[in-house]
Amino acid sequence: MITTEYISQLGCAFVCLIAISATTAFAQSNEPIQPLPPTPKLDPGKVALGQRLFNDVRLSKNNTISCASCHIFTMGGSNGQAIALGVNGAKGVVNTPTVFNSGLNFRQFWDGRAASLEEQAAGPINNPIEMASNWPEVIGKLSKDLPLVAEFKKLYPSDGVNAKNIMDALATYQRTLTTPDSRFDKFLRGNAQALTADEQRGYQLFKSYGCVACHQGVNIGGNMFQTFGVMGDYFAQRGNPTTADLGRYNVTRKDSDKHVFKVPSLRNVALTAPYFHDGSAGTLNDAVNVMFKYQLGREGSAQDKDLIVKFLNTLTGELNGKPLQPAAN
Amino acid sequence: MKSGTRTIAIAIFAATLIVILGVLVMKTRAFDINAQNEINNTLRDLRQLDSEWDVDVLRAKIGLSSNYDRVASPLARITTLKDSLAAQSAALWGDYSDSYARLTSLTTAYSKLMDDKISLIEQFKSQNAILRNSSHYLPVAASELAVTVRSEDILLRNSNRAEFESALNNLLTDLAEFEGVTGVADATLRDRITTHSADLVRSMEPFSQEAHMQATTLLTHMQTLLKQQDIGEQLLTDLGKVDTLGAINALGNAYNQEQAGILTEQQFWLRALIIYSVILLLLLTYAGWRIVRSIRLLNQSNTALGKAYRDLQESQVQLIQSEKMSGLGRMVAGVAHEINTPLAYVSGTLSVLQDQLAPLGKLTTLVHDFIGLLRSKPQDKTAVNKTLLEIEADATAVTEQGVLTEIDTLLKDGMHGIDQISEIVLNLKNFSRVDRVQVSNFSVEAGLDSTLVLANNVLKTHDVAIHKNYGGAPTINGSPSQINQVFLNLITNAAQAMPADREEQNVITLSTSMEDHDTVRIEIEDNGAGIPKDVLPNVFDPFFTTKPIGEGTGMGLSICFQIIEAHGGRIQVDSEQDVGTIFTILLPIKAAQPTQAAVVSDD
Repeated sequence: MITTEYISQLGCAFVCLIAISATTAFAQSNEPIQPLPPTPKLDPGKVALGQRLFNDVRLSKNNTISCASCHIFTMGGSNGQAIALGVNGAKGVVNTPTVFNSGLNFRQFWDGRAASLEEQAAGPINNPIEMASNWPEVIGKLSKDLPLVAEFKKLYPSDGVNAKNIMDALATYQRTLTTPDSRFDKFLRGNAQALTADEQRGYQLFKSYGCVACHQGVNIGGNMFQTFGVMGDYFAQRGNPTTADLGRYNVTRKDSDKHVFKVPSLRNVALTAPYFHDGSAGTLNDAVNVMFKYQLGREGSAQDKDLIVKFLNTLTGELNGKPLQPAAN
Repeated sequence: MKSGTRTIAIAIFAATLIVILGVLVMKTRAFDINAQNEINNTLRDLRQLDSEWDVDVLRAKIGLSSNYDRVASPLARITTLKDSLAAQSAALWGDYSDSYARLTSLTTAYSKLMDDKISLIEQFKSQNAILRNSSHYLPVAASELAVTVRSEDILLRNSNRAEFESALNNLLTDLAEFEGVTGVADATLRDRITTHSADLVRSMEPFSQEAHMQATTLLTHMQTLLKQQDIGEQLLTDLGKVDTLGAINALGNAYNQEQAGILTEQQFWLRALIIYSVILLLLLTYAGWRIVRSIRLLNQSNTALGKAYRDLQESQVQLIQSEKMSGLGRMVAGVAHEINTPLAYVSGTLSVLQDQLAPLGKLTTLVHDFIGLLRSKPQDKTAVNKTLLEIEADATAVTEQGVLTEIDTLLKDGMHGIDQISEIVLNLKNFSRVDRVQVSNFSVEAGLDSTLVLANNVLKTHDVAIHKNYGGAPTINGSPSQINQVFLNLITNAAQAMPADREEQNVITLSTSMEDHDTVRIEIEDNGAGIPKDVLPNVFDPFFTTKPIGEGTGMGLSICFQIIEAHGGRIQVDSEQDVGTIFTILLPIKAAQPTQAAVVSDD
């Protein structure tokens, strides 16, 4: 059921592309999930500077927290809290998304309000319940650090320390925080031994139950928006509705965007509990149950769900060649 | 004042010409076709991306794509391309404000459409995921339901089961048809689905709770499918209406039009510039012709001026000479008197000499007679003796009276008088010489002395005593006749400044000394009345005189000034009322190259 005028508008371009995809796309694996590409090689100077800034507490109002305070590498690039605390213990409104593979997300934040990592970087710095600072303050503090200023001057000769360059360095660094070579990616690349039979079965169930309708692509999510509660009212069930629950509506003010969130990436999902924007699901099983009920609108056997969770555990990748580990606790 | 106004007017006129030229050049400055090509390239990229995006959406819609990465990925590129389009457009078109405003409004319109499109595609992805989920699940749910129902049919009549199977089959057939339809499903099919759904619900009555729940799930997903299909149709219809490609093409056309407009306008201004340049060129040619003419006139005036200057120098030389001669004329009486004294003296001497020669003549005659007597035959002894006695008496008288000594003395005196006369005459001659021959060994002290000789009469007339303070100045390079003329003029003036019948002795003091190692200083000082203060600054001006008409030309000091200047020296005057006046002359030992005034020959 395709609108005829839309087809006619496309004309032969479509036909050509079909022909091309016949020879290319189908030649590759037609799996809905694709392995992560190798970590991109970006300007090492900017990456190093971004790393410095990522760990720099001067980006917060009272020099107590840095980006790394909430995006903890040993905790899957998040922090294990349902809702993390900002400067002076201020409580945030949503669960901290992982920084890993964030460069592969089509937009940033749960509600997708930032189009890029550069834009995203400004968010927490200026957010009064996160780092609670502002650009003049941050630039003022950093400008007193002469070696840092020199580094900026070297990497950004035309303008040195400013908001744009701080965001650029941070974003450049974060783009290198990808976690390729998970067991599942090895499986996708043709290594059938990489997954156990149960895990492979879990992947098949992940696809057949329809999880993959949203959690797909190279980042297993992170490339679209979806309503939370397609097949049932999750929020009525949960109670205590908050403004943050309105999701993308807070950005667009369109009724159709109420309770719409960015579909999160499932990469390293075993390390990033608790789950959802409200951090309400403490375990993967909890999360899978909620997804079955409110997104798929169907029942699944406990055994199937366990198999899916086993599959989800194969999505943990490697950062800089070292496998990510669950925090020891 | 008038020429100042004229200069300002010309400056304003020239500035206006340049400003007009600048405006014309600005108006015709090259339109950067390359930059426009870059904009066109960006538009082409956007167009291509847009088309590819449409295709990717369709691929996702019909299930050719297994994920939405391709549908999501253009977002970043579109943002980048839009940003670079805005930057390129601002850089190239920012200066053409009207065009830029029109283009910006089109760009904004495109941006808005693109935002709509992005939003629609976001909704499409969400909707399509739900749709595909339900669509995928429906057959599974149906078969699960069928399995449950069939496992329960032991206690039921076959008719119930048949009713259920029929209802489920009808429904699945309807759904298969529904999913196969291209475009909006017609109302009858929807009605049929509603009817068959109701049939299924009815047929479920005898079955278990579990079967009921499964049927509810099935119908829920079916409703979702119907609803999402409608939403999807609506989204694609809306997407079809969002004519971003049209907006890009409109923008491209607008760029072409604006560019054409600019080029046309530029042609006009280019023509204007050419015409203006021609006018300027003509103006320049005219100005050049004027300048050439002015230069020619200037050359003529210059030649005339040069001739006038040479004439003037000529007259100045003559003036100096005539002033000198006039001075001489005034001195002639004095000089004549000067000569008269030694002349009278010589005359007196000669007259005495004449008297003194008489006894010698008599003696000579006696000697002559005596010799005649001695030689006469016969000898007149008496006459011899008598003559001898006379000779003896006369000789004794000559000797005793010292006539010869006196003659000698007289001759010497006479010679002295003649020497004096010839000195005066020589000085006069030297003084009146017309040449200005430079000599290398001119002694200013000798010059002063020589001048004193000539001025002696004036000095005597005014009863002037001369004091000399000669410091033994070295000889200098210079023209004796000219420098002496200066001395004479100053000494004469000094003498004339002092009346003879004063109580005080009139004194002129002549001093020479070394000013420094290469300059001689000469001072001519009198103790006369002094020069009044109000007159002092003018004494060297030509034609300035305080003497009665006929006594002075007023050129004397002016000429002195010029002569000293021509020698590379300086002359200055200090004067105090009733104390006296000092003229100070400073002359370089090695005179400056004589100036023209000094060189021009008057042979």
